[in-house]
Amino acid sequence: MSNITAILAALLYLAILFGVAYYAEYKLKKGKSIINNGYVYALSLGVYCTAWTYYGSVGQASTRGIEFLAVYIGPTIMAALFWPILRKIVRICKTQRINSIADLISIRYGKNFSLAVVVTVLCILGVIPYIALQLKAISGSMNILTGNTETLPGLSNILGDNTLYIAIALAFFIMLFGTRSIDASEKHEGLVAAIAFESIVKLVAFIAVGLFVTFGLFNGFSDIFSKAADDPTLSKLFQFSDTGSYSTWTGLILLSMLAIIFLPRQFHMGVVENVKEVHIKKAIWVLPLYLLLITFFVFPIAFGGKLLLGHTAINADTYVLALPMQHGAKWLGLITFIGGFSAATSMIIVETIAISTMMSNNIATPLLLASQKFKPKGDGQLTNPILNIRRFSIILIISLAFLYDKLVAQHFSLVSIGMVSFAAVAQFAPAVLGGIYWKQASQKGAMAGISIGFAIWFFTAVIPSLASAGIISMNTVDQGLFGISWLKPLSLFGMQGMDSITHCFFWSMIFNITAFAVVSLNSKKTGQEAYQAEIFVDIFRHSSTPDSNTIWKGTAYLPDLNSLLANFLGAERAEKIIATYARRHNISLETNKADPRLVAFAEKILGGVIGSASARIMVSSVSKEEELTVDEVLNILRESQQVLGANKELRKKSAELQKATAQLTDANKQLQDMDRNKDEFLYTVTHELRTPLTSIRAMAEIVHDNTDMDEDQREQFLSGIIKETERLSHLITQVLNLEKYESGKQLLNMTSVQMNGLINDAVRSIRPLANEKGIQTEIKIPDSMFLVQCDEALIMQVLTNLLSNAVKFAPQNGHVSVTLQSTYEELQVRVHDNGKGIEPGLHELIFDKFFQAKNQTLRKPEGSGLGLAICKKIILLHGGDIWVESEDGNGSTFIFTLPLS
Amino acid sequence: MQSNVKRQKLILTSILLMGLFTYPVISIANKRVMVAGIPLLFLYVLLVWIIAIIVFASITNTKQRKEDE
Repeated sequence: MSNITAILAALLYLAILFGVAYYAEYKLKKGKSIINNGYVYALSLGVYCTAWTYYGSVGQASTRGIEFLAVYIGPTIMAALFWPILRKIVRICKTQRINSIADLISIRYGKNFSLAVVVTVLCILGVIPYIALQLKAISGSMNILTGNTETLPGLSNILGDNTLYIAIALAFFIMLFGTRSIDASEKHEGLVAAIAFESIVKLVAFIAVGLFVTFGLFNGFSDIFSKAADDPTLSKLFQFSDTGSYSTWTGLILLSMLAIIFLPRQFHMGVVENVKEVHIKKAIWVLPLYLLLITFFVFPIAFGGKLLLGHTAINADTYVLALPMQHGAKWLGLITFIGGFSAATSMIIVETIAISTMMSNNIATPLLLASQKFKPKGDGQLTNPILNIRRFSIILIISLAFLYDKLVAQHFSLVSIGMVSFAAVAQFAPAVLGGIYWKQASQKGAMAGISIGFAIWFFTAVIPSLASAGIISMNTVDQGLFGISWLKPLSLFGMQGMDSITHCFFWSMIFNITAFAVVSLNSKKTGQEAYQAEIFVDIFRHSSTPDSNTIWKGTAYLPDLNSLLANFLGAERAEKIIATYARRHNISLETNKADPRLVAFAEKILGGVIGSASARIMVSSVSKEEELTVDEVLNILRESQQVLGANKELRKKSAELQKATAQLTDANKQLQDMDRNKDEFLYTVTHELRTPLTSIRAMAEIVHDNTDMDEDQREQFLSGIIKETERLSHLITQVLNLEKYESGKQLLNMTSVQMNGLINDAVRSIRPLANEKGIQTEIKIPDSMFLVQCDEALIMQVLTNLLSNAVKFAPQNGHVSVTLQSTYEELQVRVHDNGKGIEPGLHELIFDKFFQAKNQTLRKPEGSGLGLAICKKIILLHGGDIWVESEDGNGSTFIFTLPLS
Repeated sequence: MQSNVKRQKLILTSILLMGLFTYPVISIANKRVMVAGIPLLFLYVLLVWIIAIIVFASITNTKQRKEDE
């Protein structure tokens, strides 16, 4: 394949990448965020898999067996801890507007400037070689693809070097999508989308090669493994060789557990570009799945490569590409190349952005601000210089990596550089993890730990690799520093039996952690530090009340603050931000002196733009801050926590009070209703009692006054008196009964009652009355027996009442019928008459007490008006129901039901 | 509350995984034996890995609640 095809393919791929990034930003403008998605987040974390994974793991698997897998198993174990650890870091960085690991460490330890510089330098030293490695992988794979075997180390033919153009295109891409906004803590929509896309490309390409080798060149997995088992050098790789490799294995797992969080590119994708904390939940299982899939075919390719190409001079690091190329699958070769290219570019892009942010915020910007003898003038005059610094940092990093690749990296294998850089970033782990879980951790402790860890890392990892590359002499490695034999970089203090990386990791961490802990416990903290420690460790408690407990003491003037922000953000935006904040927190902007909260807020905003260290310098340049003591800080924090607690308690109390008040109002209303009902009832009852009493009295007076009245007439009046008295006592009985049912004093005397018999008895008792009016009575009962549990006397009373009503309202010579029906659940009794019926509007009302009495114009004033009310009470006591069906003029049917069980 | 239980489950899983993936437990699988044509050690690592992914997914894939603590 020609050189032109290869470079065209690479550039075409980059063009697609631009397209994806543009598309994502275009979508965002339309209001739809592509990266606001757990899967995209998890895929973007796949930036962990670089060209080293893509090419190097096959090389490593073919020489050291399973060992390479440790680098992917570590992150899998760490994924489970994403929820407790990574989420906490994300929350801290969001509330504090932190956009790099250097900022995280320096802000935690009292916004310390020198700490930020040390972290930045360590990142640059540790990671630039790693970026160079990716460039090397790109040029190497391009050589394999084009069949170009001559390698040109050095800079002799720089213009003919494809890598140069790729590097320029990448730098362009990073500047375009990585420096969109001055606020570095803003999300880079297009960038994240492009990285997630690259994760898919490299996965698909690698699996394609895996399938080709496993099923195209061999007959499946067992074929490859059984053939490899016959080869004594290969079958050795099926196992751990000795106990030494167990310690390497465990060391690599631990190392990569830290790397998946602390590598600058992982920190950038996982923390800075995290849109929502819940996305972490998705990543917990999607990332391990991704790592499993991308390493799944490494063994088949490694053993397949050894079996087919082991006799040639082809480097095992390139088997992924060489296998398809050697077996005529040129197109697959091109796809493979693109996959490796995407793995390399994704790493270069993200790592460069992360490092350039650190470099510009912590080194370049402070220098610029210092050199200009900065005076706040306002109106965004520093926006462009700062963006330019960031762009310049990007170019610088890419150039350094390019030079490193050309001048140094050609001497290394792919793997060693990667692991060296893992060990470098692991030095941040004690300071960061200690910082977010341990309040005692101090700035001096962090500085001591990182510095000594850094020194040991340099001595045990960098010096040997420089020596083996021939850049420095081997004397130090062989004989120890200054010829002291227990200071040999590869066996420090005489320790042996570990490989160089585990050795470096072990010693650097031991010293780092010890120094960090011991110095932390023995140093005094400043107020600022104590405050940050409090906020970081208890972030979930503090982040619910952002900015409410600001600590800042001193004097600052509002116009100064305004113009300071305006320098970086432009006057309009600065004013808007301050006004919004002031409104939200009820801060008056009338006074000339700035509120302390406003000062702290301005510093935080600036921190997002130029990094915390520079922001602190800027703010102190326009204000006079007084040092706070640790006690003061802790008091402020404690107070605000107490106020918060008291507030919560108060809110709870007042909610309870409101509830109680509502309940009381309800109860009062009920009582008033009942009182009114009682009055009404009493009124009606007395009214009803007076009617018969009046007539009794009238008749008695007539008899009394007319002593000469004849016998017949006297008889007539006296029997009238008796009849009225009976009516009176009947009424009183009914009122008493009703009261009994309503108060619940009536107990049911439940027995098994044969409904058929009961109905017959009731009809028989009413027949004389019916015969008087010439009314036909009819009973419609099925043949079977109907047993029901009820109080016989009370049901008899209901039946009699309904029947006598029916007879009462049936016309002369009309007819009355009783029907008994049963369903599975209940028994239904229907009493029908062919009277003039009841209007629908009254169907409910007739069951009210004294309904008839109150509506005497509607019906003849017969009965007390309590009968139906009593019936209803009785039926309800039995758990049944009673209602009426009627149409005006067509008679009416009273129906009641009794439950069967 | 529920989120806290989830956190504890995840921490427990990571501890178990650390045990399963390192010496001495892993030495159980460190034998020159092929199972279904695949070296035992590779198969062991693969299986633990797959189970880990399934466990992670089942712990985290509960009904989405309003996340807070």
